[in-house]
Amino acid sequence: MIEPRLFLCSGAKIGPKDPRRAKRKVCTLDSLGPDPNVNLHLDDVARVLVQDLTPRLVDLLEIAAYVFSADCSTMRGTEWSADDSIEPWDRNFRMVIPVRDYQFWSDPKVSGLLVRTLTFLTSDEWAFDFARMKGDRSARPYLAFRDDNWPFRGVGRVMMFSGGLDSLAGAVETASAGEHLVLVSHRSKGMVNQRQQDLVAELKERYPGKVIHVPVWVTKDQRFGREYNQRSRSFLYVALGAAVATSVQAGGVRFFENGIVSINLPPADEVQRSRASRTTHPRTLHLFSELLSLVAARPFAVDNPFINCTKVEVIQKLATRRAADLIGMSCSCAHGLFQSKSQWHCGTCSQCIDRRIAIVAAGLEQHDPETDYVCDVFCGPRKPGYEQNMGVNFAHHAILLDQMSEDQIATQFNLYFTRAIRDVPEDKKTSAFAQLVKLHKRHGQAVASVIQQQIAKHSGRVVAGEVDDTSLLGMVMGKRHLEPSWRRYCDRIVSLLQAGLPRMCQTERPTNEKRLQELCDGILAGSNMDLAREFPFMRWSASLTKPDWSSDPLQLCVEAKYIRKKEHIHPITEAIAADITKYGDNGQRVLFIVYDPAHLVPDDAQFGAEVSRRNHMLLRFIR
Amino acid sequence: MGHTRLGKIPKSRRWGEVVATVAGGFGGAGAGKALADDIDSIAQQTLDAAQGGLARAISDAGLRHTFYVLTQVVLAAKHPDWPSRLAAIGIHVPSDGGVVEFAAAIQHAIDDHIYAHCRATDISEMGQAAAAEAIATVAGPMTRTLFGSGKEELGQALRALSTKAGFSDLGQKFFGRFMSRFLNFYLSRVTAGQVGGHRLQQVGDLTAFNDALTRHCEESARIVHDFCGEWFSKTEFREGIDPKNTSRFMAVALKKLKAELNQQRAAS
Repeated sequence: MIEPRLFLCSGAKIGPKDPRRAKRKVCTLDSLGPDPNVNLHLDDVARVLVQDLTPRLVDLLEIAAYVFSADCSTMRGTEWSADDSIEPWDRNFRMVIPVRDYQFWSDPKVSGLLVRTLTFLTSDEWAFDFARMKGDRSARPYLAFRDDNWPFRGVGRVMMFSGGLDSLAGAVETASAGEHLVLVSHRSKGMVNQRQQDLVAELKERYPGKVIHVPVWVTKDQRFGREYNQRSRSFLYVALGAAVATSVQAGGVRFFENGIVSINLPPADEVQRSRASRTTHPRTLHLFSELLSLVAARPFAVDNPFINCTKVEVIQKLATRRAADLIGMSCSCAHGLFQSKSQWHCGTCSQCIDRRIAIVAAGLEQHDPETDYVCDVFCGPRKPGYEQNMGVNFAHHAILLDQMSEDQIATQFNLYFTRAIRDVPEDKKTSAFAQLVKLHKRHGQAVASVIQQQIAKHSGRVVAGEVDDTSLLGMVMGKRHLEPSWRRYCDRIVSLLQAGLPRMCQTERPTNEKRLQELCDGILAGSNMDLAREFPFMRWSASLTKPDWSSDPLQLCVEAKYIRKKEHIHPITEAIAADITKYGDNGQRVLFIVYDPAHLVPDDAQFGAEVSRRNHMLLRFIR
Repeated sequence: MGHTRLGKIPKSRRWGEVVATVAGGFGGAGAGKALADDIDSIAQQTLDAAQGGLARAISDAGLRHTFYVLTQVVLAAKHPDWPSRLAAIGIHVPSDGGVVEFAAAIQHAIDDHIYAHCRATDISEMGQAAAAEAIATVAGPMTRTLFGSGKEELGQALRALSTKAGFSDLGQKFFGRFMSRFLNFYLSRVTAGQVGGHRLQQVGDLTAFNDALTRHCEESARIVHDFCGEWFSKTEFREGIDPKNTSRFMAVALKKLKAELNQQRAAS
């Protein structure tokens, strides 16, 4: 279990014996005091119109920044409990925050909605104790606009702009429709993304007088730990958007995110709850909208027009608007901040895989140079662990969607779709559900089609066995076609013996190795395995030896060993060592079958180590 | 955005053995066989390593409530005015809804209950997913379409579930799917990393393995099939079904299923 935390924010103080301290690690957070450890930056915002934010909105920004800092500083999932069978994922936070509008935030309806929103977003347990703020902490406005006749005042929505493909397509769609764009970007580091700036500059040039960009970022003290999942990030992001939207009197905040990423179905059974992020999930956006409507005291929309689009369809919008050349200026990588200046995509995270496949599916590769990827998405080697697992899960999930019928998709992922349509009006629920199922089917089809296309493109390398085993294509195809036939033959022998031998010996185990061989011989003969028994004789030095079975065409010898007692382990090891030499020197391949019904061999890997070093020999246990 | 957190399996001896078995090669038991062909052994080994988690699952308030809701849905379906009965327990079925809309209404009610009365956990989440699958797979084939079949057709499908045999089918499916998701919660951390190895040579083998696991768990859950139906009809007749006796039943059913999975490995 992760130790519960108590965060005292904005200089809040509680007594040393206050029961809220019990069994909690106490931390302090401050964004404005003499020694701030949470820094909220909102600058460079079109030097226009001075308009201080309402106290309630400043409160919201601070609450969001504190929530984000608490989230980032508390690690998840490290120490398993209950005898290593429960992964600690949920955390327990209690936040004590002085606020300017105490009456508003202490209303159970408001605080309840805040907790519900964060619970859905993060899967954590949240509790808030709001206090009346003492003194004037709002002297320094976080956000300042100047200008009276500003064309951006009253835009329909403020747009959350990440600089990725989806938000780029959203910006282009909106600007092409003649609307003004107020783009809000968030970075959790105080580092300005050059590519994002270039992209905005390009948008400004294409749509003169229509675009302003509001980059904002939050930094926290380095003394805090680093929790990379950051599931509360979109709460901070939307709070920043809401502040900007209020300043420009926009109707709300808009995310542009394709429906596949927005719904974010778990690609594997380990991915429960917020392990799959719910950043722009329809339920999240609905809860944001409810909360922000209370904060703004007016209807405040938070929406996502791309909910029924796949990534391919989003990218096609760029082509339709003749803006495909902007693709190369966008960055989708989850590790974007860590890439070199020349290569902005790692090629191994799910975002990079998704991007590259969608671009190929849309036929727009010329705008997304392969050289921009550190690792080739299709053929590049993937490191064991995160990189391989991410590739496997992405491909497996998409291919599964392609192979399933719509009814199967609706059944298997029912829970996740039902949550996505929860806030859709009753009369539209059925069609919304069906649309989401079809959306995922289209996604699966697009990915499967691109994988097939890439296999065809690299067919020469595939046949020659030159595609890296750990690459996306390598893992989809496997290398069965290259596997030596003698190994497959050995697998068949082992498979038959594993299926038959334990059953035959259930009540009475063989008394000796000879009896074991007779039983094995019966199983193999009954299955038409064309093996010669105790043949041929082979000479080694002055002695003759013969295998238990052999296959002449495959130059394969099969040896069965029987471990009845612990004392047998050592002599059998020596016998195997002798066989390695004798058969090896006679140019034979060897399969060693070790029958170990009582599991007496303590370390299988060590037992088979000498055999495993030889390419033409195999050792398999039957138990 | 759209991030997925992939976790690791603990480095304990028991989990190490599961990893070795999945990896195959020289070290693992069952080497030389495709992983899907060794499903009874893997399932049992995983269950053994995850027994602490299963013990917690039995007392998980969200899982208990999910199964209780299934019983209440089936009881309500016996009555001519079943929509009102369901509405009384917070399940609002749209007038033109089919199985999908019905499953959605159930999930919303369970979500709300869990939020208000306990905490969502990985176990409760797996239970909800299993319940949704169970309803869709058992009731779905009795309607022409999963979407918008209308109340009349949905009512007929639900009435079929309200019999002893119907609840037996629903119970078997629920426990089978839950166990499959429970085991794969751990195994999927291991299997993805073994694609390209001895026993999972390609991505398609992972599908075969997952299918085999689901099938194996559902077949093993036959052990609770009749038990579910008998408990349902007897308990309702004698004392009425309530959260307490449902929880007790669920604990016994899960223990039976666990024993069956162990038994199958011993038999093989």
